[in-house]
Amino acid sequence: MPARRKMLFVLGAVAVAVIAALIAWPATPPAPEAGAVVVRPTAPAASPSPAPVPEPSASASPTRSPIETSILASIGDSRAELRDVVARRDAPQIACGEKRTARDPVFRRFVWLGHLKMLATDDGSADFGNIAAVCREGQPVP
Amino acid sequence: MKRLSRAICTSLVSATALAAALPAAAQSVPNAPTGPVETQYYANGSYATTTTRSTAACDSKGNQCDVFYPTNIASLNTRLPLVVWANGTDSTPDNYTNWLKHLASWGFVVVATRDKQTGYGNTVLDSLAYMQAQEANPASPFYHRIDFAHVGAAGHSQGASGAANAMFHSNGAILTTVTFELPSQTWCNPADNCLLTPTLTGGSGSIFYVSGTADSLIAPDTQSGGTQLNSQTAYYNATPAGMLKAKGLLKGANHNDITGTPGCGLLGFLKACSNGVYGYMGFPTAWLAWQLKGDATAGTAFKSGTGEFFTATAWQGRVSNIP
Repeated sequence: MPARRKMLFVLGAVAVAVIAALIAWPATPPAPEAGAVVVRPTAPAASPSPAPVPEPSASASPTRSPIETSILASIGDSRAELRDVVARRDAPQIACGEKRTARDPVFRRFVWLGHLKMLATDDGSADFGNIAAVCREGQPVP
Repeated sequence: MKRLSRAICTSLVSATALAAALPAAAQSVPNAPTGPVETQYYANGSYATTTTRSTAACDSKGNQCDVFYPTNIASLNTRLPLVVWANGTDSTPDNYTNWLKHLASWGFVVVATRDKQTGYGNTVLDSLAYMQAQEANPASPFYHRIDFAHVGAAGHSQGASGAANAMFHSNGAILTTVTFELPSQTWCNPADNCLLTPTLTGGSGSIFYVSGTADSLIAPDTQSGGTQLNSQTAYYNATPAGMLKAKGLLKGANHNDITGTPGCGLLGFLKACSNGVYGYMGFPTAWLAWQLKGDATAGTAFKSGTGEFFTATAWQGRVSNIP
């Protein structure tokens, strides 16, 4: 009976895939390399902290994600650095994190709208707070 | 059967011809025009248009330029005003062909660098210099065809900054600017890739700020406070009183509606295109026709408080200082 054979084949394929995934999946996510920029696909918590974060840390990542590459390209500064970049889970074209540049060497929060190639930098104003709300899951996508 | 097929074909052709002949205003489109000036300039002008691309680089960054112009430019008796166009971030003129051809149909020559980072305005000024060279070249279709006493600028998003910067750094060569979705300064990276406050407050010329009410994250009408120019109203208020200026927001329009062809298509929502370019064709074209072609009737539409612009149903957040 071809239908029954087909169903058995599909069930078998699914079982093999599940076993392979269990073997390949690590118990905990791998720790990022030192200096790497981390992209976490989770919803960020709203940060009430003011604009500048004068603490040097991240350096150029040897393994940039596509979204980081896009953000850095939009900044157009070869010495720009990113850290704590978080892509919105339900709208991965939107990312938030901190950046610093050669001309502005303190880390400041940013919001990235990838589909519009637009990057907003925290200027300490209430307006940036409104923009940063877009980082939260479920917010309307502009 | 053959007769039936012929009848169906004839009906289809007739329906298509009728749809093409109907003025778009008569159809159901978002932000349709309401008054005579908006309706006039909402429709395409009388010129058939041609688009060419420079064979070599036209700006200092090595980009080519696209030029949109009336097809019969060589046979016209008058020189035509020029509009220099500035693209939004990571965009080329390909994203704005509907709008740019619309301008050309009204008798403007439009030059658009293919630069994708136009915020400083330098490549926009380069494109102006390119057209000046073309105008002096007997082998060019633009030889003695451009009226360089009437040059305007227009641009979208980062290009809105670029268009304004080009005007303010043109030593008077560019008379007017139309900005579409001029981003709040908080979106500028680096800051001087934007329209800076001292540049604006020390500038001259005229300017029409155009945005959309659905673009409240990038180019909102008002802001909460702070020292940066983070809204269309802040830009308008910072514009010197000695400049002719106007500001308005198209209802429901999002950041990329100017890229409509003319609508946004089924997937427009993915690229922040909600209503399409329709509403942007009337008053922005009228502004340029007033400033660069001397259409005084178009100018009266912007008269503060009482002009047609202030009663147009598709617009809100309107203000001007036009006497």
